[in-house]
This record gives sequence, structure tokens and C-alpha cells, in this order.
Amino acid sequence: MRSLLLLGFILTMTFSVNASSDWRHFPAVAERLGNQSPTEAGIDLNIPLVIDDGSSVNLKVSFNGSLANEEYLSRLWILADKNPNPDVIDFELSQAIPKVELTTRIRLGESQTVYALAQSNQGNFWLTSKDVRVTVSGCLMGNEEPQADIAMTQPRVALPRNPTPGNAAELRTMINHPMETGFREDGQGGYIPQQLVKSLNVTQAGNPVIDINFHTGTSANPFVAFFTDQFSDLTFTWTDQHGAQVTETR
Amino acid sequence: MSDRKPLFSSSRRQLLKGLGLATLFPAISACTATGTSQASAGRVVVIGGGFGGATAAKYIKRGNPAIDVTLVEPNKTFYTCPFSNLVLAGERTLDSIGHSYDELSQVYGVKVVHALAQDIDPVAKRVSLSDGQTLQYDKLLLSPGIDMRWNAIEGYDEAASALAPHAWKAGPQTLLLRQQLEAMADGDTFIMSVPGNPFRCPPGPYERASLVAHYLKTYKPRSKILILDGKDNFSKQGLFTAGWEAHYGDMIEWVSLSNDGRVVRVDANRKEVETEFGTRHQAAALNVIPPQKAGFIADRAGVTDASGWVPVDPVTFESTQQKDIYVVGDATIASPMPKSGFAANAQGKVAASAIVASFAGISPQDPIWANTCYSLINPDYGISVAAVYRVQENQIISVEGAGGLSASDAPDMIRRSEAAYAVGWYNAISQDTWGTKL
Repeated sequence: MRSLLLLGFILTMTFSVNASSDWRHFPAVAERLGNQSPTEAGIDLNIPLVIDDGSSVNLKVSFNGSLANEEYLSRLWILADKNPNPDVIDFELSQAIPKVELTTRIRLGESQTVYALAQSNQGNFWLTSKDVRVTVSGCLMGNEEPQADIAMTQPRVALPRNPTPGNAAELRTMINHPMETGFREDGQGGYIPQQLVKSLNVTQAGNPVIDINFHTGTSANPFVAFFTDQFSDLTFTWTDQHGAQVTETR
Repeated sequence: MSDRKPLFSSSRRQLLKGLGLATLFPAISACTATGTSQASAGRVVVIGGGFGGATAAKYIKRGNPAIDVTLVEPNKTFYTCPFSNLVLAGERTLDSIGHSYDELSQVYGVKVVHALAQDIDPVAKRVSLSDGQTLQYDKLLLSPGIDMRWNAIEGYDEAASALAPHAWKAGPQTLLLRQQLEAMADGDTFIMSVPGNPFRCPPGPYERASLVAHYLKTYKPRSKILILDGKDNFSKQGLFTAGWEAHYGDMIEWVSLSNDGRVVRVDANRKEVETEFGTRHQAAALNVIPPQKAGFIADRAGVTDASGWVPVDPVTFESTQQKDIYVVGDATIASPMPKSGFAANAQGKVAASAIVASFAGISPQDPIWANTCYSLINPDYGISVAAVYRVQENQIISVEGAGGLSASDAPDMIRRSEAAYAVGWYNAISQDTWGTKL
């Protein structure tokens, strides 16, 4: 892997092709693909290759692959092969997403390969990956005191500054929650129980726009920005793993 | 790292003892170039006369005075970012953090050219300068520092920095921000916008907030400091937070990334900023420290990657993209080493050693670096973080158990000592880098 990384600095083309071929040994990708082989172009993963703080890493995934008539991206997964749980975050997309460009913040416990796997409503797959080096592990989320019952607080939604319906613009969301992974030792031979925000569901006039599923690889205070061309009658619902919900409307 | 580590663990002491200068560069020859008539052993051009470049120029000459070394640096005086926060606080003059190139030219025989390096041809091995000269090199060493990413924050470009200074390169920008602080009325708000990682001097913004608070507490005690941050945690956070509480009460408010601290838009005329979830804040004095990248000459040399920073071979600090071009300091990707003056000085020595070794046809030694970042909560209250670095499996790693943070429960006497060590450190590294006797 290390020689791959070095080679990558010199031969970027070779690097991306070689890195992506590793997915065959990564069940989280291989099992979703089944017998299909993905297109390894048209999907772009923007993430720093050297990461100073693994607890909150900016990640942007965008798609410009070619789609058939009536075809749109319906699923997109971010997966990290050396996190304790490879699931980072995943998206269920609707046709109301005019442009797939998703920004979020993720957790990486160590240096590893991060994958973006996308699937269309017609069953076609796209895959890309990046090898990243983490120099300070963010796995253990700092030393905050564990809390018994964590509530979601401060739901935030930012609409674009001057939105015009029909023109795609970026919308931002965030909610405050420490995203306790369940991997943190409690100092008494056990682990601090997992407590996560499970999902954010966005609807427009009752119709699904985007459903986002958060996992242990999502950073604390889950943040997602996405593009839409609808800026009214929007409902944002966050749900935690106990079933509690917080709703915002715009 | 935990806040509870002792200031000097025994392992750190032992490791530091082992860090003789001999581990940093081979003692080929210590005599100076004056009076010698050796044929040139090779031509080196050094671009940038800060901590990395000035150190490298000097140590190449110390390693082998027969090497022809030219330093290209537009300014006749270099002002350091370290201690520039004391200038902002009115505790030091800008002159007191200025350094000349006299020692390099007069004692070490470095040719100092005061011009701007405008372009590099890595194939023809040629540098073109703003004064029309071109310089031919066998080895090129870049210490380009940082450039601001103008417009990475909407509305914050070079023109805006004349109204809302970054002061993240010391000199006129430092004086401009000082004037704004002086113009504040009692009860006004000072706002600082801090970028996400990586950026120059990770603890710098928080030392700046501390020393500005020291000034305001004395002269404008009802004023407020608002730090809007693109991060959820920062260097020496526990020590800073405790120091702020003890000395400044609630004068300093820190807004983290997850509390909507990231600034996405600046209106420099109104001294107003807007965060990513639409909160607007207005300041009497506005300091925007924008996202950064390697200095532009690194781009011209073709050594930066998609991140805007420079990947290097960790043993020699030679570019992984262009042969015979070495890059040191803030411009490089050397994490976990921080972007600090101390690190640039240490990297300058390693690259100098590798260049001297390469001309002599011998292999470079495995380097070991140390770095200490002192920060002042006030002029008599210092804290520090130290680490030792080495290369393992061709990557720089932080040596476990070496270094650490100031103790969280240290008595004031220790804080006073650390503030004095900070001055000692500054004087020593200024002498090592530019020969300035302080």
C-alpha cells in the first residue's frame, strides 16, 4: 500500500486505477456489487490525502458520469476499509436532486482507503477511491465525558443566499450530537454504549428529496450539504437510534 | 496527547540529549568561505529567506564552503511571525522581530540577491528573477512559505486584506491590524476568523487572541474577542482555555465549527462576516486568517500537488515531483510536523545536509527533528507543546513518549519560566537562522 502511495505521487493515473482494484478484497464494496463490475470514471471523491485530524475530515463526492434516459443516481455509499465499521455515510437520492455533489465530514481512525460507490435506479454502479494518510487518529473522539442519554440539539439548515427555484444551489444541514461510536472503552473493561443520529430525511411538499443514513464513520455533529432546486415547503427530520426525532421546516 | 503529561518526561530528556547537531548534518568542514579559493563544488539557489531558507543557505555553507550558494529574497529585512503577536499587543516593536541577511553574506559568503523569484524551469534548471537576472542551479532549495487562498472565503481577496488584515505574514499587515486594535473603543468587538487544517502555526490564532486580550484588558476592558473557527478543536486547547478563564474571564469567546463557527463570507468594508449557517457578526477590528497554500513559486516549479502543498521525500526534503528541487518549511506536507518556524529551521538543516551529501556523493543520514511551539497567554505566562520526529517506513512519525504538553496544573512560577524560555527560544533560533544577536 505504501509503495502504491509513493508511486501515486509520481504517476497519478496509475495510482487511481491500482487503488480502485483493491475493492475486490473489501466486502463492503464487493458484496454490494455482487457480480457487477463498476464504472471507475465519472465519480469523483475529494478528500485530503494527508489528514491532520481524523475526527473531522471534509469529504465531497460528485458525479458527472453518463446516464441513460430516465436513469438517475439512487444510492451512494461512502465506505472506509480500515475503520472499525466500514460504513461512513450513505445517501438515498431522488430525481429531485438535480446535481449530485454531496459534502460531509467524516471520521477516519487510521490511514486507509476511502471508497465512494454509487448505484443508479437502473442498477448500474460507479466506484472511486482515495488512499489517505491520517497523522493524528480521530478514532477516540477526544476525552469528552460520556453522557447517558444524548439528545440532538441545534438543528441547522442554511438555504442558499439568493435561491431561484429551478436553479440548482447548495443547501447545508447540521445537528449537534457527539455520535458516540460504541468503540470507546469505559475504563472498566467495557465500552461506552453507542448513541448515534441514524438519519436525516428531507422532503419537499411531502415527496422524498434525499434520505441520509449516518454511521460510526460520520463525524460528531453530522453535517451534509447537497444541491437542490427546490427551496420552499421543505421538511428536515433527524432521527436518533432511540427513535427520537427533531424536525425543521423551510 | 493528554493534558496531564509532565512537562519533561524522562524519555523526552534522553531523546533530546541524543539530538546532537551531528545527527542533523555531517561535519564535513566548519571553516568559512572567506579566504578560500576552492573551485565551486556545485551551485545552489535558495529561494526564500525565512526560517527554512536562511537556515539552509547557512548550513550548506557550513557543510561545504566550496558550494556556491545564492539566496533570493525580495525583502532586506525579514519579520518573523513568531512574536508578531507581541507587536499586535504593543509589547514589542516590529523592528525587534526584524532580521537582516548580513551574517549570511559577510560571514558565510552566501550571495544574497534582493529580488523576487518569478519563474523556474526545472528542466533547464534556471530561475528567473524580477530584476531580469536568470540564475543557473545544480540544486534548488525552495522555502516559499505560504500564500493566501484569496476568495476561498467569499469576498476575501487581497484588496479586502487591506481593510480586514490577515496579519499571517508579519510586516505591514501586522502594523495594520495593530492600528485597528488601537482604534477600537472600549466595549468594541475584535473578531478573528480561523481556517481549518492545515495552516501556518496551529497555535498562533489562540496566542493572538490571548495577547490581544492582554492589550484590551489593560486599555479597553469592556471589549470582547470572538474567535470564529473552522475546527472543533485546536492546539493546546485545554491550556489555552484554562489560561483565558484565569486571566481574561469571559472576554474571549470561541465558536467551534459545530457551533457554526466557520466563516464563509466576508464584507471587509462593513467589517462583517457570515458563517456557514447564516449568522452575521460585525466587528470593530476584523482579522481574517484565510485558508492557505504553498507560496506561488512552488507552483511555478511544479512541485505542488492537488492539495496546493508540496509532497517531499521525508529523508532529504527533495520534491517527489521534480528532481534536484528541495522544499522546506510551511509549504511542505510534513505532517505530523507542524507548519512552524522551528520545524522549517530543522528541515532547512536536513535539506542542507542532504544537498551537501549529494554533492559529495554520499548517502544522506536518517534525520531526527525536534519542534517546540511556545505560546504566550500573557507576556509572563507561557505554555508549550514539544515533539520529536523521525522517519519510519519512509514517512515522518512523531516519536511516542517524546515531548508533550505543559502540565495542566503547573504553578504560575512554571508559566513564568516558560514565558522566559519562549524568549530564549526566539533569541536562539534568530541567531541560528540569521545570526541576529539578541
